[in-house]
Amino acid sequence: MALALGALLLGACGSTSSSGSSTTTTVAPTTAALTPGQGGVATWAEPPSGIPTFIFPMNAAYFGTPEFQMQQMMYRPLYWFGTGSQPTLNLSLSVGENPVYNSTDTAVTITIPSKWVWSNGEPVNAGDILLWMNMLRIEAPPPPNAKDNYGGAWGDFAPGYFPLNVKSIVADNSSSVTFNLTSAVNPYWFTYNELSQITPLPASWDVTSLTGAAGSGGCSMTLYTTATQAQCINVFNFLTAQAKIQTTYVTSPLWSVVDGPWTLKSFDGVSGNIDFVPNLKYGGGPQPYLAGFDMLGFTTDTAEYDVLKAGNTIDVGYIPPSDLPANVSGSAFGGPNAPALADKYSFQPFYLYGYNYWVPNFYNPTVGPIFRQLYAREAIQDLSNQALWIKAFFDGYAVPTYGPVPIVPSTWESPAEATDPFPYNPATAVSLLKNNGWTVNPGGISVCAKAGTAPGDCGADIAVGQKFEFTVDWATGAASFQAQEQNLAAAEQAGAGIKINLVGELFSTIIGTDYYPCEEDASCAKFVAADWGGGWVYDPDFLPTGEPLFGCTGTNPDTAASADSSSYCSAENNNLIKLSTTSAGKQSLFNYENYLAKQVPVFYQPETAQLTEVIDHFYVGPQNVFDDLNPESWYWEKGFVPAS
Amino acid sequence: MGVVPTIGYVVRRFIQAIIVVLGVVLITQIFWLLLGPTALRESFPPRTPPSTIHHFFVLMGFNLPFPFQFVKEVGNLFTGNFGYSLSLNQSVFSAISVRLPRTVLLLGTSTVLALLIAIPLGVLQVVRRNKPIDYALTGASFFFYGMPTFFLGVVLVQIFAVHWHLFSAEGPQVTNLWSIFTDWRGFTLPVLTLAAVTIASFSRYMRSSMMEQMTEDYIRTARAKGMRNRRVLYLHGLRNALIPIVTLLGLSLPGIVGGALVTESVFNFPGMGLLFLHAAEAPDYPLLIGTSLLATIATVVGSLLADIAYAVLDPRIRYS
Repeated sequence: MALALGALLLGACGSTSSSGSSTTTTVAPTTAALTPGQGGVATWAEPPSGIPTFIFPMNAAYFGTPEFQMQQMMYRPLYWFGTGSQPTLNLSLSVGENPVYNSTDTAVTITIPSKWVWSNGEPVNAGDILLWMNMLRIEAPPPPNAKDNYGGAWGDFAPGYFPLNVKSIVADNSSSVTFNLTSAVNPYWFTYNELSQITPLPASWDVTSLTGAAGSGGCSMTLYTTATQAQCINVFNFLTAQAKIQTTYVTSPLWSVVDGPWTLKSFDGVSGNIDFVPNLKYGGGPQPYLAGFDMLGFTTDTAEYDVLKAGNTIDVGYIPPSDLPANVSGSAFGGPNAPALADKYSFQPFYLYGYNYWVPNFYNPTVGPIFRQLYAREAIQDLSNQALWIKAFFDGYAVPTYGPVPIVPSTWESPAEATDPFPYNPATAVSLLKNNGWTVNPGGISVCAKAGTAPGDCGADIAVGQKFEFTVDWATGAASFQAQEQNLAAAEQAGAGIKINLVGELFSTIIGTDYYPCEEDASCAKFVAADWGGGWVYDPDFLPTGEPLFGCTGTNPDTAASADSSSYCSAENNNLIKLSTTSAGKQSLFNYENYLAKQVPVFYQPETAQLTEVIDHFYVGPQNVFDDLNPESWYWEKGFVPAS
Repeated sequence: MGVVPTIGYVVRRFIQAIIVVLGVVLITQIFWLLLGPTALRESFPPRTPPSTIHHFFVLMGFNLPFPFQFVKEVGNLFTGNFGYSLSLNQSVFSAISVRLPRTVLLLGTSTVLALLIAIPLGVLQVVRRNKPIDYALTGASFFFYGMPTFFLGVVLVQIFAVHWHLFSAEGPQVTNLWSIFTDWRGFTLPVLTLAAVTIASFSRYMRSSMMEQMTEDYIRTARAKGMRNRRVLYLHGLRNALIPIVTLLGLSLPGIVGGALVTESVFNFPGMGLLFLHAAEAPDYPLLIGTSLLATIATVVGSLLADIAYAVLDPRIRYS
């Protein structure tokens, strides 16, 4: 039994934050190490629809967590984030040494230690960084008539940022490269959110045919110019085309060159079963303890849980929320395991570094004018009883969200965000509406009684008689409690006469049709408000400064950043984001964080736990808060290593 | 009558089948071309830059005039190009060609098993008509026929995989067909789940058909001529009673090709059923159209084969 072995110790020394009547531990417990044994294969259950489909670590069409997880096992990012359960830079797992900024923070030099080598014997070098940068520039080339928010195809693009804020890149020598920037930056931010995107690519990928000599593509020595752009496009197209042939992932001379601790042994894109073996040339750190690591694909949560209960196939899996037993401990990090698993697995929940919310459309022609009023957003947030949600629907396995920066772990949490700026208080919501020209009808529908923009009026574009009523599309089909959760949320809002009409939709329908940005839907009317059941995990924007979330140009909502689903756009917020990306220290980030917590650009709701189950006598340590995998540090307890 | 009329009948049915398939191709392609731009938009994550989507619009030919798009799409279909699945990062043809053999193996095995068991059971029930064994088998048939597949699958997993550890809780995860077939720990429960329901259904048909045949004049004549009961039963009765089963088999073809969504889901067996579900949920329209077309073709071919078999087995049948 894992608890008897001390595999899971509930932390007793974490700091706490309070939310109404609830108290939340903000530091993950530590998992006690076992005596490592060498060898054995470990299996890990992929979530449903979590089968990786693309091996080339660069392409917007295939930009997702499953792909990251597979790619990063083999192709190490320049910088690895996640130290224990903290969302911080982990240099011991990074290819690059700590980046060195000049005195004005307008240039940064990155050096790659000589221990990093590719599996073909070539050192990981400066040219490998340049090759990735060239591929990024091909992926996101702003055409002459591009709009301000043109993002090319690179999924992490934010207007005005990477790579547009890089003036030049120069290879100082074979192992060192210097980025010259267009203006001074906050070094923390540039490392966490921009350099973090880079994955060195081997010179053997700088080719346009499988038989081409390494570097023959002419794209890995310097940044391409207008004269040499075409050859880099050829390289990009060749690599993309090769990555579409899944049957060659194991045997291809391209993809078999790795610098990470693992290399592919087999890849089955149908079942999702992907097997890795250690890369014997790995120089970045100690060799993995394990002799192999297998990802297992599952079609549904139920299928995974059935296999988990059988206890002989999955070593690290997850329990579906609906199968959780009562959390008698009240801790967000632990409680009794399900009886069907308790004799084989230990329950080790953890939290991704992200936050959860539901989204209003600020520019919906009917309700947008209401959503644009701060008092109205405050009233809605005042009516959200996160403490009750956590207790009633997540059985304690959730933490509240107070703003765009997560409070678990509290690494970047501002002191002001330690407490809920909008604790549940229907009376406050009622008085906010009354003070702004509304006739409040608790249990019914509040109505605007005083049109206008003066203090005490409803606000711009809200007519007398306009009802405080709107539709929220919510994602059905996930956890069974979601319907109850949505109903409670609607009932809470009714306390101040805010009428929410719930419409259950498939997740794919919501993200596919509801989130039409206004620039694509001229009427901007298709999308009113939606809760797709997820949120935002800060990866690879590891520092939560918010430029891909709430950045825009001036006050023009059409320039909203790629992930700004509500089209919130504020000049003051832009300025705070800018300061957080250019000023050193935490205070500028705190200022942005405090501002957006009170602006309520989206409606905050609890962030739920990842419900991991780890088989007895197996150690995974603190799980990565960005959902990245590093099983090279996982091991079987000595004396319990299964035969490979 | 004879061979020539049968060939004429087959040719007519074949032409009808082609017309049906072409009609379905026409309808799906018109839908695709009308809905394509919106559908493609839905295939991308929220707020993907319009320029990215436009890139794929051009790639998929949506910038061409409608008639050119139609000719191009239909031409693609006839050259085996069913389009590209963005969600799976592979051609639709490739996605189908990997999963189809797995599904055919699973459904084919369970159907053959069901036939091997259901036919003797049906005959036995006729031989022992209105005896306890007949009542027991009838009850069992109703029990399994009425039981939802997912429930039966889950029960079998709980008993034989979770509790007794005799079989695996999931189907075989390997790609090689022979390895799937020989992975008895993984293959048994999904085959049994599917076969149980099919046996229940086929044995009822078999019993009913056999009973009908046994009251026919030619059976009475055979008996009157002193033919032994076993010979009457198997040489005359069974042979004719099998004709409805042939029809059933023909109509099973769409299911065999289309996959068993519920069973594949319960047993984590990636086949055609789950591919179709994935295509619908993603939504992945090229994949959806590809799998739908395949199901259509299987339905048409299944009916065609059933009709032809019927015509060959029963010379009285000639549709003009």
